[in-house]
Amino acid sequence: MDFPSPLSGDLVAALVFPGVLGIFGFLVVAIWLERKLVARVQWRYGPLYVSRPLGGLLQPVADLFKLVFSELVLPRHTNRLLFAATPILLFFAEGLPVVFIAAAPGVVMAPHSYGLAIAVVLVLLVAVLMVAMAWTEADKFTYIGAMREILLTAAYEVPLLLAALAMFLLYGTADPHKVVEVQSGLWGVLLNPLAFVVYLVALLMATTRFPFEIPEAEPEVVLGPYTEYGSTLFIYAFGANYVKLYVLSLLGAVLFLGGWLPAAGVLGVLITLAKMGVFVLPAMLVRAIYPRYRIDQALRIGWGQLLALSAAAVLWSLLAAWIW
Amino acid sequence: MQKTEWPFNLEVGRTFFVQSEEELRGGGRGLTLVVGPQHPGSGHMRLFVVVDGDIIVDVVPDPGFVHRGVEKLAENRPYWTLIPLVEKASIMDSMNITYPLILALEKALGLEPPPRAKYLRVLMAELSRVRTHLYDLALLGVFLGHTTAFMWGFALMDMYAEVFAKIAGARTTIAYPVPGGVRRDVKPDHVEAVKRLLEVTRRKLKDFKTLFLDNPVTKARLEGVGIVDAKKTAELGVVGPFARASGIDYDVRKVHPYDAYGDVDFEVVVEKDGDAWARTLVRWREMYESMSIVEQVLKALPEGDVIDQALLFKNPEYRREGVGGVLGVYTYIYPEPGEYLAVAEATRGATLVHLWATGLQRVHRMRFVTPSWRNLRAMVEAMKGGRLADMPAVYMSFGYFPPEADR
Repeated sequence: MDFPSPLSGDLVAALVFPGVLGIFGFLVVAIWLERKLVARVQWRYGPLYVSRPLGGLLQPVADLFKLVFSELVLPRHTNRLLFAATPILLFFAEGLPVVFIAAAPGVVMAPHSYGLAIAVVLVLLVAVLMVAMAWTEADKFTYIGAMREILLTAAYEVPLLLAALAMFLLYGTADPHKVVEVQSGLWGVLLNPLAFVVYLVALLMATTRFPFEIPEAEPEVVLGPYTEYGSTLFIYAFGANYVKLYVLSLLGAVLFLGGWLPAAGVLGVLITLAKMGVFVLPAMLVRAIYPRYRIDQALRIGWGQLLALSAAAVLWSLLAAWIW
Repeated sequence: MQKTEWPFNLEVGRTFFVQSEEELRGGGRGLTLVVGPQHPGSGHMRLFVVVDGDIIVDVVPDPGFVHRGVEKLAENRPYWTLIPLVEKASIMDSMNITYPLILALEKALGLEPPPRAKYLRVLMAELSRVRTHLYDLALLGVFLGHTTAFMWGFALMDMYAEVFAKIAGARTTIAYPVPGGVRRDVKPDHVEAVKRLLEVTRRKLKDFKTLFLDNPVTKARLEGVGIVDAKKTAELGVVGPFARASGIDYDVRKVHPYDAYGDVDFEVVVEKDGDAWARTLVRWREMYESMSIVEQVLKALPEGDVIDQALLFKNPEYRREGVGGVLGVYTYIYPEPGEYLAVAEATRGATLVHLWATGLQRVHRMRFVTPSWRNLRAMVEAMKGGRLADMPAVYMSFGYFPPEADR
């Protein structure tokens, strides 16, 4: 730990990265980046006028302000407490896995020898809250959105678990520090490319990115689970998706790209941040490339090709570990 | 707590198609979704969609939200003001949608456009066909979630709007043809602009194809979805590219060639499958056919006036005042009493205008049948039995345009 006291590693992890500042900063930068990248493909400029010298970087902040000051509507026929509480719970629950993931040596909130495994499980558990949120809204479109969310979760969670399992088997540990240590020779993506591919596709499904943007398909179910929310609650409900992307990118960077290697300390944190881009940028760009699948097609992919690929990834790891 | 749900306390028979939610078929199992008019996937209409699980059991349309009563309004106006009225039905396609009215009025007034005007009409009609197809493809893209197709389609459309503004003076509602000719002549730089436009369109459509049509996800969403076979297509009275996608080889431009369509060489695009993919492909290939027609027209564009001599002689000041001076002539010519029928191939299918003239300058009655209205039945039939996600795909594969249907 080469941070000056009184800044201990876990405090930095909680407050700066990968904690609070990282999550909220990511919200702004990711939304801006997504708009800018997609606009570049689509013969547009994207955000431009708010903070022109920064290339419109503050546009998402302006949008957040706008949303905060718009009227908050709590439908009368819903359970109003749950209606208001679930998006906030969802937002923070999506961020929870960060507690167990290290961004640099020592920069982790709760070091645990099964840290990464716990993080994966937490990511999968949060889907329940999303369904609860859609259910509380008591609307036909959110109901269908919830159903699609459940089905999509069923499609990606086994492959995601198997991809993570493949890496844990290969490394022989789920401790974030040891996982990165093992990768000092070769990164995980080279050790088991199959698992990496499965992880990337499962990440797109888990964060409902295109072509799997099925629960919130606009022409069919308006905005799916988010339909009834406005104002601040919409920020929490919709922001939760970006938090999930943040968490899964961080997890992926540690699991497959060697985390903070080859540096440590502040530079290590920055390297982790840069490696997250490997997962974030494709997740943004697919919006400009793909339409969305139908839910039955997504399920077929999840339970067909993706499951087979993830099973092969586990076998690959077993073989590699055996030969090693 | 009292729960309120549609149809609230609506009286039976207050809406056009659906009386109450309970009257919809599908029994107790289905979930009735009210899609529209304030739904991102409905357009200016309402669909009552009954889903059983993910399968659409029944769809009942409730059109008429943008009904402006064009037919009734037409009875109270002098005939030369009907053109800007009728074109509002389908603003992208204003040239094609006013075509049958112009043809019928010319029969009633006994006017004959000079050859140059005929060619110019075909030029604008085909450009607006490409533009409308681009519009429909762009919307199909965004209904499938492909925002890039949407943006590219609209960006290309805007180039057409610019060229329209050059030639006709307006970007969208051009009201270009008048009985006996066209409103403006094209100048050499307009011809250059059209040529450049076609070149840019061809270049950009290549990228469009790579990213949208050749996209495996697009194909997966459209193939085998919303199949309407040839027999059913004929029974339901589908027109235009959507009938041709089911293997019905009918195009008014070929069967009853009007204006310069007899002189140009083009192929009627026909597909066999009758699914959403076939309907998309037909329109895609029609764009290229239209562009080839435009090129032929530019090559063979005759010299001469753009307004009938009969009108010119009535206004000796024409040479000084230009075409604008001729338009005043309409105030003192009268349609011959009788019934006049004209059909033209608009972008989304055959459009019909039936005029009853009584010798007054106001027509007694104008019947105006638009293609989207005729395609609505088939669209709804094609949705049934599909999945909920197929609803927007089928919707835009029929290029359904509520303002055109409701008129």
